[in-house]
Amino acid sequence: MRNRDLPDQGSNKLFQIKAIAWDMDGTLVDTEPTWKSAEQELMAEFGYRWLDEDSAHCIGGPMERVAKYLQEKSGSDLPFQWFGDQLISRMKDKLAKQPSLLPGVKSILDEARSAGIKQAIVSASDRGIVELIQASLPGYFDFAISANDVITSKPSPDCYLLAAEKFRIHINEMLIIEDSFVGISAGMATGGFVIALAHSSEVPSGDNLFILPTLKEVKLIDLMGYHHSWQLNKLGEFNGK
Amino acid sequence: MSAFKLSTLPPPRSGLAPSSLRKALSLRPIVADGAMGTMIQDRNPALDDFLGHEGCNEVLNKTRPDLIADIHRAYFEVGVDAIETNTFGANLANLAEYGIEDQIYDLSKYGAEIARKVADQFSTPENPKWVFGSIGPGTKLPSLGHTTYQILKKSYYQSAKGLIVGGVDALLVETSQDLLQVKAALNGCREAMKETDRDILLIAHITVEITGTMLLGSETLAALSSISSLGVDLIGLNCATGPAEMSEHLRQLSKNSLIPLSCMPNAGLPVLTPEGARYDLTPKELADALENFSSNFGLRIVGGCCGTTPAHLKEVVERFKDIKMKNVSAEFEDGASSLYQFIPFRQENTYLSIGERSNANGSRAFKSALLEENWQGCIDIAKEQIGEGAHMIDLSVDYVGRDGVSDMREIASRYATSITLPIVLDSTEPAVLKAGLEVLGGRCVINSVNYEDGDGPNSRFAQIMPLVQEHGAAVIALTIDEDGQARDKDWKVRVARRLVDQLSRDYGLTQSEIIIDCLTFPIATGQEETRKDAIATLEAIKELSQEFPELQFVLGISNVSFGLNPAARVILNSVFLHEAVASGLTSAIVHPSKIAPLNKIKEEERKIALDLIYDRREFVDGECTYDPLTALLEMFDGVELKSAKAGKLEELLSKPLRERLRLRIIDGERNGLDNDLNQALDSGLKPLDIINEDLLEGMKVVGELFGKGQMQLPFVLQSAEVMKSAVALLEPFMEKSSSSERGKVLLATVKGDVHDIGKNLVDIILTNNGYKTFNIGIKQTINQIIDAAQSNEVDVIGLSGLLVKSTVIMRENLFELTERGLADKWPVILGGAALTRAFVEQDLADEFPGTVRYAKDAFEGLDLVATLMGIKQGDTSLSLPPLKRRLTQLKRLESEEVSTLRSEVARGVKLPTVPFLGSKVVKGIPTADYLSYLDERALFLGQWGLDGSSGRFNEMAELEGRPALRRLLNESSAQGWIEAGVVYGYFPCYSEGNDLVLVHHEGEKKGIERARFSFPRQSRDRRLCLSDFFKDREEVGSDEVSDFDVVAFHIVTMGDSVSKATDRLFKADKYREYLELHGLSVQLTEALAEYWHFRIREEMGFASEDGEDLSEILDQGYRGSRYSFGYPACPDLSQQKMIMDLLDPSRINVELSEEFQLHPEQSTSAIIVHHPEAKYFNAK
Repeated sequence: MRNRDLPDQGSNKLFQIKAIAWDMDGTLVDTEPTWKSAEQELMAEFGYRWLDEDSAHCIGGPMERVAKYLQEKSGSDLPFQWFGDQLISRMKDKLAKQPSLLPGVKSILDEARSAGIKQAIVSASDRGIVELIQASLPGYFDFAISANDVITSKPSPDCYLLAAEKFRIHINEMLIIEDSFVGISAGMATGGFVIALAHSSEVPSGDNLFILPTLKEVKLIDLMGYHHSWQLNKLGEFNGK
Repeated sequence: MSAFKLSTLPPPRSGLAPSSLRKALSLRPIVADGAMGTMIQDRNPALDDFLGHEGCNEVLNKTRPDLIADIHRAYFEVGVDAIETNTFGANLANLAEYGIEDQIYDLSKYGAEIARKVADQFSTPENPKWVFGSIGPGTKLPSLGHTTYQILKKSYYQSAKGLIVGGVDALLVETSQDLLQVKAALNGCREAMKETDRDILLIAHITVEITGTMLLGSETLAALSSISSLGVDLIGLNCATGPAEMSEHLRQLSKNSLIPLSCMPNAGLPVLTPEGARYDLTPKELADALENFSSNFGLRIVGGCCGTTPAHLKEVVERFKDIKMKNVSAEFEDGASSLYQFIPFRQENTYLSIGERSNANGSRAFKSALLEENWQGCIDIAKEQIGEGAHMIDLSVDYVGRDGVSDMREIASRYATSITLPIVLDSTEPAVLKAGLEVLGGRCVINSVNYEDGDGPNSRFAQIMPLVQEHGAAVIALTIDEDGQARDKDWKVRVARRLVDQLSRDYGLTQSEIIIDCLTFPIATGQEETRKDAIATLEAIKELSQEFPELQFVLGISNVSFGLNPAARVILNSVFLHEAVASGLTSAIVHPSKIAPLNKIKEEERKIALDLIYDRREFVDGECTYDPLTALLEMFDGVELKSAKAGKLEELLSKPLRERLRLRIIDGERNGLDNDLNQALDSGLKPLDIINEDLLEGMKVVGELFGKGQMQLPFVLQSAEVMKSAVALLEPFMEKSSSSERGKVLLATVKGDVHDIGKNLVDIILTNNGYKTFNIGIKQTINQIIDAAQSNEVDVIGLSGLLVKSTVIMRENLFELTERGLADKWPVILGGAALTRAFVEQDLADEFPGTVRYAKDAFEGLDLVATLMGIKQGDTSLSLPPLKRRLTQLKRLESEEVSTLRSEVARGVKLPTVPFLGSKVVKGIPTADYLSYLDERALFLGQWGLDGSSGRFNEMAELEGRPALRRLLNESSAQGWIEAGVVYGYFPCYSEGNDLVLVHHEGEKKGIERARFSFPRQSRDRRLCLSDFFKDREEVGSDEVSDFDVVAFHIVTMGDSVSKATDRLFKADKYREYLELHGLSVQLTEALAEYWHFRIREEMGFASEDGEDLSEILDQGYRGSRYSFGYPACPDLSQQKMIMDLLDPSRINVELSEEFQLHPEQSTSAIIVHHPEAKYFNAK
């Protein structure tokens, strides 16, 4: 039961969303407070009072640098790898108890899963951290792509193109959800469709995106609707007016 | 299987850029205009303007373009986005009435040009304006044979062509009443659209009548299934009703449609005045309703139909300025439809069963009906299959030497209106398939296509697929290619992949509408090459169903057992079907009653069948030591499969004539009765002797069997029917004076009681046992009873009543008889559900000086009447049975002070949110929705009197109950007997002592008392009272309506038609059908009430707390409770009056009698309480 054409009347094909590629930090989760509390707890055991500026120093840093920083502040002669491992294991525990999902994300994750839409994390963070987040949200993601999986990172579209390839789908069958300027640029550069969460920074210009302030109270069906309208409206460009 | 899918606007045809209308509709809802006809009348065109065709508004497109343009302008001036052309009647049927059917094209084109011009004047680049080409239905309904599909399609092509050339942006096939007419109109449009390179949208509007279905009985989902595969961009509703009645249909469409919706209601229901119809819905009310629909159902086009004016649309435009597009998801299920109903391809917990017997090559009965051109016989065979549980009917008329096209047309057109199941059209001839498709309005399945002669331009494949596309059919595709029938697994899989690929790529089919047949071969031939055939088929299905999860699969099951004897075939077919379903088969072409459930198959038989299917022969040194085929043949050697019925008939015919007559009555066997009676008369027997000595003897046995519980009520009635016909056949031969009457009995249902089934059963039994009855009907006062008894000089009075109240009336009646000195004149027999033997034979008998007796059923009544008549005629050996008295005396309860002290029911229950306050009407609820709430036990055992004792229930249900139920449901929908309707609502309230107080939720009296219900309180136990389940005024606190507690009420009905239908059956002496239909209608009412209670729980947000299966639900396995007045927690029927005032059930034609009974009888009301502790209790 579908819309069907008469003989000798083909139809323009519109793609349906078969997968969602989630940027991680700022889109899917906000892990900063969790990092901070894990760091605080760990350092308290060494009698060091972890301050906001310490956190700021470590944000987004590769694990090795953070581990070394922790070791240095602790004054301990344990190897820095020990600090890295400790931090990761504490993060694991904390995230398992309470994944720090951003508002609205959980319901979309659930809706997509029950609708049979596949999902992946596509992040520019280190593999260890990405795997940490992936593990804290079991059952949602087919795979995760981290900084370690591509040669050129965002704004290069490579990570998203790789995701579509791994899903074995057309780029127009994949919905990209991003929040940062470079991330949105990366998504748009694929030619696919991007949901841009403009909660802070400015947004690149172009027509293959839909801007939302946040995912709060947004339904999967709405995202599908934006994707459909975008495709329908650009049909004329391919076919000539 | 349902999947979560976005309902989306389809893209334009290949190679076309989307029009501005299509782009806009993908982003926001747009507002169209309102009524046209009344606007024309208001402008008073002169007679000359019509060129002698007065009333033909379309002529004005030619003569008064100014007037029409003026109307368009009036709508654009209030800000609408789109207008409809003045071409509603520019169709064949309408113009032919004026003899100007040659102007379809011209008048359509003129109409479009006028609208286009005005639209362009109002259009700006930011704010484009659009034109919808209106295409009305005309008055000829092809499903009823008024005209043909081809004639209609050609004429609709003309109007669509004219509209497109005139410049419309969309074609709107509207006010549609017959699905076959819609199909013709849409295909006329599609032909015309092919010839333009503009992106024209195609919109279809159906009209759902006040009865809740389209004019010919189509449920909304049947229409959706048929229409949405015909290339339409939007589907919607217009005309017939206001928005209130449309809500339920939009809900169903929105839940199931993959394309977006449109809605143009009338300005309410018409109020008939001397000046014509008037419509009272205000602009604000229309805007409110459309806004509500838009946010709930994601409407993309809104507008108005009859009675809506520019003032209405102005309000709608204002309202829609800020309304954003609402995306909605559909739980889409693919399936097919008849003119009446939709059937999904995937059945819950079972396979889709396609009945195979309407097949000239597969069924001897069908073949002979076809050869005799006995069309009714062909219909009956389909109806039998409905009874056997088929979900669709395969129809194959191909027979050597006959004109298949003509046969198909004859039969399919009859199936179209009398069979409520979708049709699978089965032929190798494209022309035969086409003939079927052109008379069936529902969505069909085509059986079948394959690559036997390839897929070249002249192949059957290439000839059949365009038909599939034009008619939006689903298709069965066989794994046959140029090399022949695919035998091994890889071959089958290879052909299936090719089919799926080509059908989706070249013909735009989705997986869910392709039904792959991996072919069944006979495996019991003994030939080596057939031994692995079943394995190959099962493995292919398994592999393909994993690769294409949405694909459907079918097999013609019976072929597997070809060559075996019938008894063995049942076993092998059933086991093979079970294996196939486990492998992924979704449907099967079968003879449903020849499939045995696995638990009925002996373990040994099943093992051998499995061994045969999987070729588990055993060999020792190349020597076969175990062959399941041999084992099966040996096991069933000489075992015959004879139908019980055929056996019985044979036995009957072997008896001597008079014995046979008696047996005919006992067995209820009408076939051959005439012959037997003639023979009896020819042999010199007197008619009266035949009646007394043979027929009545038979009835006596029937009575005895019934009394012993060995015969069930429906069969008793069948016997009575045969008795009735026998007497009718004999009457002409009887002498005038010879009366067969044994006595006269007056029968009545007492005052205030509308229930007559019990009384009518007594009537049937007495009449057919030789008594004359005077059945004076329901709600009879004692005066009417006495008058009728006197004037007809009856011997006995029988009174009946179902209600508790009726027992009181009966007591009053006896008192009256005593008062008037008539106590000894007539013996009185009382019967009815609320009576007890002790009440009648002790309490009443003590007070009544005459004779009064209790009869528990019709046969006890018969015995009593027989005894009374015998005594009257002087038989001294007879006496009435002694009165039965209670063993223990009743304790009189001391009356207590009325307590209003609140019980310990929990307070502080979180208030549920309700979707609206006030009331709503709902019609056209698909039977399938509430059928799952049908209490089969209550129906089969309680209403129909079938025997389900000692663990026999399942067997009885399978063999007797459900087949009768299915046949009856088919008949009910084909005849339009069921008109389910609901009025319900939510009201703010609080409790005060034993009272529940409702307050106004809007208007000047907001917050002020509106109604007050009073309930009794238990004097012991928990001391419960219904009012305790609501917040009291203190707990409510503020005066805000939202802080009040909330109570729901509903009234549901099956409508009046079914009462009328049962009356007709009773009068036509169709006793068994009468009993069955009456019982069904009563239980369906209960099922609808149960379903609607679920819907209310769903709306209040706690349906997820429901129990898992029906037995739990029927045992109140859900939050809260539904109480009907007259039951122990709220016994006072008179309080229903307030429910009437709150819900206005006149909208579903239900009224409350002076005795506080709902009419029609098939109606029920309830108060619905959300408090988790609210359950049934007895307030005594």
